[in-house]
Amino acid sequence: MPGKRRRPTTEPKRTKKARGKTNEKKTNLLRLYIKVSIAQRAEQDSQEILNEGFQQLFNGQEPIESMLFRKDSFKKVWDSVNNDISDILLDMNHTAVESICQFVDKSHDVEESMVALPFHEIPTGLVFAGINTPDHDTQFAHIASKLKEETTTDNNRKQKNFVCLLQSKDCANIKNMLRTMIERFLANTPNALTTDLENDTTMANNEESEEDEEDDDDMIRSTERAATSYRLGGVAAKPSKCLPYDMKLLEGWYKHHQQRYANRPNLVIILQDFESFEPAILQDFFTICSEYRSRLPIICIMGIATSTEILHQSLNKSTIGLLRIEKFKLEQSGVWFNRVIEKIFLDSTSTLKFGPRPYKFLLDHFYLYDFSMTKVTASIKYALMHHFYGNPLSIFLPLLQMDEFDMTATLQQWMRSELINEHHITHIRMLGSFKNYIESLVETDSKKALRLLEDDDYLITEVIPSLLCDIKMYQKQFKMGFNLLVLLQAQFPSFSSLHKSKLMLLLEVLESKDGLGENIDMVRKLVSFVRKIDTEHVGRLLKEIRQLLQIYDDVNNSFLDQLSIWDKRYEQLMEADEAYNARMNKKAKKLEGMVLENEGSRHTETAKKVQNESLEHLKRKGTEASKIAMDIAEWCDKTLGHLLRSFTTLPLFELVYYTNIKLHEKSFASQPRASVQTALTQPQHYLNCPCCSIEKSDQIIASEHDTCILYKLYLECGRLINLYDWFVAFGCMIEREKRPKNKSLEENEVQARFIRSVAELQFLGFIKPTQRKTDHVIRLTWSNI
Amino acid sequence: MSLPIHSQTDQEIPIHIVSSISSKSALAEEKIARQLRSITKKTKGSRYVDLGLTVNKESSNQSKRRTSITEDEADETEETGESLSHYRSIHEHDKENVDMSGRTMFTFQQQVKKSSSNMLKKVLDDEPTTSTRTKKTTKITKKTVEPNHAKRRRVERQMELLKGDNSSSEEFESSEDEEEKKEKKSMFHDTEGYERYFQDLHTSSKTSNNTLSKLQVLEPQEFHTILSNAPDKHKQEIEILSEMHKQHFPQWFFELQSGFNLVFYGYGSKRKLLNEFAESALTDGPLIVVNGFFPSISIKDILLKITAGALGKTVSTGQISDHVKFICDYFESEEREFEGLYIVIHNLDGANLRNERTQTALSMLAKANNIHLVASVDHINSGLLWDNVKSSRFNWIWHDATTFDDYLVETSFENSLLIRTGELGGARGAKFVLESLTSNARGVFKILAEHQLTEMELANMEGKGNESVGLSYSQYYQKCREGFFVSSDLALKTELTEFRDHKLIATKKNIDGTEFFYIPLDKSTLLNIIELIL
Repeated sequence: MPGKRRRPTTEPKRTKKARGKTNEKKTNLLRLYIKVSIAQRAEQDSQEILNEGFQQLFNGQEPIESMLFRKDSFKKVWDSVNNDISDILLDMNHTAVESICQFVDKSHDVEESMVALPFHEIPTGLVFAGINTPDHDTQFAHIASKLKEETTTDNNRKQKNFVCLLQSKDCANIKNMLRTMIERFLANTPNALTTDLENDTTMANNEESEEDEEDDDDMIRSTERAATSYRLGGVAAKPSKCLPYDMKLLEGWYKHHQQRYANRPNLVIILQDFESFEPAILQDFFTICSEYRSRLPIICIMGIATSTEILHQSLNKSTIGLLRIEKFKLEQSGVWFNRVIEKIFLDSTSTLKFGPRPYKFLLDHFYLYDFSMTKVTASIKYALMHHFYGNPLSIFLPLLQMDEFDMTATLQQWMRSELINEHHITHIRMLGSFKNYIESLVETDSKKALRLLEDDDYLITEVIPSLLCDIKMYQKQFKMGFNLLVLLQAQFPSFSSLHKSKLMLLLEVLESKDGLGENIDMVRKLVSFVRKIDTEHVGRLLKEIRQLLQIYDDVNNSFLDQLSIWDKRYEQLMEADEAYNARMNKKAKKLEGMVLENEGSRHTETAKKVQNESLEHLKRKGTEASKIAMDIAEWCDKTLGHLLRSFTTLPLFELVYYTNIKLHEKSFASQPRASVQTALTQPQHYLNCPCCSIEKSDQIIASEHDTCILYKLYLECGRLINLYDWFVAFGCMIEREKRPKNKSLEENEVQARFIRSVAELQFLGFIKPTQRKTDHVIRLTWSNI
Repeated sequence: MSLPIHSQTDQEIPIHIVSSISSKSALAEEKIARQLRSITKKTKGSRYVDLGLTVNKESSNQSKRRTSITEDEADETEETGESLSHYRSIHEHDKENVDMSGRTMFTFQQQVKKSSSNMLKKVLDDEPTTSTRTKKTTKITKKTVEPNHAKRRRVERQMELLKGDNSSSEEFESSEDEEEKKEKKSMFHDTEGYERYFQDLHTSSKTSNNTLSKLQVLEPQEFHTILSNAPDKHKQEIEILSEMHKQHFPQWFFELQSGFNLVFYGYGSKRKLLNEFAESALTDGPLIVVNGFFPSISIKDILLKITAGALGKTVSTGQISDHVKFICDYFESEEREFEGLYIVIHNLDGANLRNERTQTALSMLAKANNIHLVASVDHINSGLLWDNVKSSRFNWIWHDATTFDDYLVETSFENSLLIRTGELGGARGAKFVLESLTSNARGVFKILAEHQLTEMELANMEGKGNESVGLSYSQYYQKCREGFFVSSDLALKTELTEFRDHKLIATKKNIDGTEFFYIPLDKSTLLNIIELIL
C-alpha cells in the first residue's frame, strides 16, 4: 500500500494549484481515495479564516471591534439561552429524579422485609422518558450523576452509588456488554483509591481476599497482554483465569472497595435505550445479574421510550420474573418545550425573540415531526447565529440587559470609540420601523423627526436607549396581557372551543398584524362571556385579576386603582341587604327579555344598533353585579387591545425580533430532491441565463444543459426506457444546438454526452439498469416534488 | 383502420424542416402550434403522446398520420415551397424549432425510428426532393384528429388567415365521422406524476426493440477526449454560481465552529467546491477527504486513515465501534495533539457507505466534540439514510449547493451503463469473486496483482492494466509454485479459467505468440482489492 499511505500534501500548495485541474483530479483518483492533510499545512496557508468566520459587514467597512463584539455577544447570549434551556430540563425532572434516587436507596430495606425467594430479584426502575430517544442522553446523564453524588449535607442523598450507563450501541453481544459494564464500573473507582489500585500488586496480601486482588491485577495484565502478546510469546505466564468480561472481576473489585463505605454502595446499571437492545442479550444479562445479586447489590434502571408492553414483548416470563419493577415517569418533552418557549419568548427581556413565522416553524417541527428537544435547541441557536453573524445591528441586542442609564453610557462610549460608524446609523435610519416612526413623528413633532434624521449623536445616545427601553416595557406589558388572556380563558372551562394551549395562543397573538383587538374572534367571545358572568363569578374574577396585576405592579398602577374601585362596588353589593337584593331581582326579571348576542350571527346595521342599545341600557339599568361585569369586560377589551398590540408597531423592533424564516427552512427542512428536480427542469432558476427562458417546464430547448434535456425526455417515458430510443431523441435535441461553423457535431460526441448524462441520472437515482429487456432502464421517479 | 390516409413512406417524413420566415410569422405559427398541441392534449383521443419512448402498436397508424404537427405547420407557412434540405443545414435556421416540446419531438421521433432501422443513417440519405404538395395533403388529413369543432374551426380560420388557403374546409366535413370513432377510444394517458406509475403498472408498456448494438462502442479514453472537446454550456453562469457559493465559505466555517455539521445537496458535482472550501477554510486541523463514491471504500479505511494518517497513532483495530470510540475519546481528552479534526466526505450516500454500520459509525464521529464533518449527498432519496437517532447525531445544517458541474469523476467508476469499461465486474465484483475462492486461488491472484502493481509503479502507468505489465504463463506458473499455491500445471490452469470466466484476469498474445496474463483494473482499485482480500 505505498500509494495510499502517503501523505499527499507535503508539497506546497501553490504547485498543486498550478497543475491543471484534470491532472489534479487524476492524482486524487488514482492514488488516494482518501486524502489526509496534516495540520502543518496551516502554516503554508495564509488565508485562514479568522474569528470563526465572522466577517466585517458593510462591505468590509464595519469596524473590527464591532465585529468582535458581535462574536462575543453571540457567545454570551447563546450561553445564557442554553443555560436556561438545560436548567429547565433539570428543574423539570427534579421530582422524578429524586424519586428514582429514593428507589435506589431503599431497594435494600424492601428486600429484607420480603419473603425469601428461591431466586434473586433485581430491583428495576423503568423510566419513561418520552419518545425522542436522542434527547435522553442528557436526562440519563443527569440521573447518573445524581446517583453518583457523594453524600453531603445539602443534597439528601443517603449514600454514594457506583453507576454505569450502558447504551445499546456498546452492547452488541453479551460479552461486549459485560466487558463495557465492568470497565465502566471500574472507572467509578474513587480518586483516593486509584493509587491503591495501581499498587495493588505490592499490597496484594494485605487485603482480605488475595484472589480478588489478583483479579484486578489480571484485568490490567490482560489488557497489557493484548498489546505485547507476541513479543512475550511463550515466556508469558499462563493466561489468567479472569477475562475482562467475567463478573467475578466485578465482584472482587466490589469487595475490595466496599469496606470503605459505611453502608454498602449499590451498583446501579442504567440501560438507557431499552428498545434498541437485543432481547436475547438482555435475558442472558439479567440472568447473570440475578445470580450475582446475593453478592453484588445490583440495581437496574431502564429507559423506555414507548410503554411497559415492550418489556413483555421482548423478554420472556422467566426473565421478567427476575425483575422487581417500579415505574417512574420523566416529564415529556412537550412540557419542556412549553416552558422553554415561555421562558425565552415571554419572560426574558434580553434575548432575541421570534416573530410569527419562525415561531410557527418551531412549533410545527416540534409537534409534527419528532418532539425533539435537540432540534428546537439547534433552531434557536441557528437563529441567534444568523442574527449575530449577518446583521450588523445585532450589537444593540445585548444592550437590552442594561437599564436606560447604562445603555446611554455604553452607547456614548461606543460613539466615542467609533465602534458605531456612519454605516450603522444609516442602517438604523433605513429600518422599516424607524421610517414609520419618523413618519408618525412628522405630524406631531416635526422638529424631533428632523433632528432624528440629522443628528447622529442625538439618535444614538438619546433616542435609541429610550426606544429600546420602550421595547422592554412593551415586552413586560405583553407578558401581562398574555397572562390576562390566559386567565380569562381559564374562567370559562366549559367552552372547549375557546380553550387553546398557551403556545397556540402565543402564535395567534404573534400572527395578528394589528394586535389583538376586537378583530380576533376569541377575544371578542371572551369579552362577551365576561359581560354575562353572575355575581359570585364577578368576585372570583376580581380576585384573580388582582393577583395577576400584583405580580406586574411595575407595569401599570392605574390598573390596580381601577380594580380597587370595582372591589369596593362589589363589597357594597355583597353587604347589601335583603331589600336591595329583592329589588335587584325584580330588575333582573324585567331585563330578562334583553338579548345579548355574543355570536356575530347578525351583522345588519339594525342588529348592531339593537345590540349596542341593549348594552347601553343594561349598563344604566342592570343590576349592580352585571354593571360591574360590563365594566370589567370593557376594561379587558381595551387593555388586551393595548397590551397585546403587535410588535411590528414598535420602532426598532427589527433589532429584537427575528422574523426571517427562509434560512431555517432551507437549513433544517431542506428538500434535496426538489432542488435537484428544479435544477433539471428549470435550470434558469439557478443559472439565471438569458437563453433558457421557457414558459412551460416541459419545453425543451437545445441550449439547456445536456442532463436537463435528457431528464425532460425522461419525464415523458413509461416504466421502461429504451436507451437507444432515448439516445436518438437526445441526439435530435443536440443537433439543434448552435455550434461554431467549423465544428460539426459528430455522432460519437452525441453518444459521449448521452452516456455522461445517463450516468448522471443513474447516479442521482432517477433510473436503474434492468435485465428485463436488453438495453433498457427502469424509471424510478414519478412526480416532481 | 380504414382511414383515408395518404401513405407516406418513412423516407418522406422530414425530420427537420427548414424555413426562412420573418420573426413575425414565426411567432404567429408558434402560437398556432401551441394551440393545436393544447387541443390534442385535451382530447386525448388516439394520442399516445406521453408514452414517450414506448411504442404502441394500435396507435401507430394514427400517429404516423400525425407526424409532427408543429413541423407541418411550420412547413405550411413557408409558401415559398422551399424544399427540404439536408439536416445539417438546419444549424443556421433552427429558430422555429426552438420551442418544440419534447412531447411532439418524441412522438415524432418514435415514428422515425420505428420503421427506419437507423435513424441517423436515414437522415443522412434523406432525399431533399420530397414534394411540398404531398406534404400538404397529409397535413390536412392529419388535422381530423382533433374532435373539438369549435376550437378547431377557430384554429382553422386563423390558419386560413395566415396562409389564405381554403382547401382545408372541405376536408374538414368529410373527416367528422372519423373523429367520433376516435373519441370512443378515450385514453387516459395524460395523467402526470405518481398517477402515471399506477397507470403504467397494469398496462403492458411496450418499448421498441432497438438496442445499443447499433451504436459503436466507445472506449473510455475516447469518451473523455470527446467530452473535453465538447462545448460547455452556460460556462459563464456556472462560474458565477460557484463564485456565489464561495462567498459562503466564512459562513460555513462559522457554522462548523458552532457545532453543526454541514451537508450539501443539489444538482451538480460538489467535489470541487468542497475541496476548495476544505483547502481554503479548514486549515486549522488535520483534514481527511473521503471520496465516498469510490466503489470499494469502507468505513474501516476511513477510520484507519484517521488514526494512522491524521493522528499518527496505531490502534489495535478490533471492532468498528471500539475504533470510533478511540477517535472520539482522543478528541475529548485534554492532552491531545490536534485541536480538532475535519472530515470531508464526498458523497456520503455513496454505494459503499450506504450501509447501517457505516452511517452509525460516521454519525458517532460527527457527534463527537471537535470533529467536524462536511459531506455532500447526491442521490435524490439520500434523506432516507438516517433515522431519527442518526440524524440528530449528525446535527446537520443543509445547504443547497447546486453547481451544474458534471459528475464525471463520480460516475467514472462502475455505475455507468453504457461505457464499455473493459467488460469487468468492477472492483466490487472482483471482491465478491475473490471472497468466494480458496486461499490458494487468492494467492494465485495476488501474485499477479503484486507483480502488476510493481510494474505499473515502475512504468508510472495510469489507467487500466494491459499486457505490458502482465506475466507470461511460464513465469506465472513458476511464481505460483514458489509460493506453494499450485502444485501442478493443471491446477493453475483451473484457477486461471475461473478468473477468466469472471473477467478478473485477461490474456493477450504477444507478437511472438506467448500468452500474457494481466488484471484489467486500474492501480487504485487493484490496491484496494488486495488490501481487502488478501
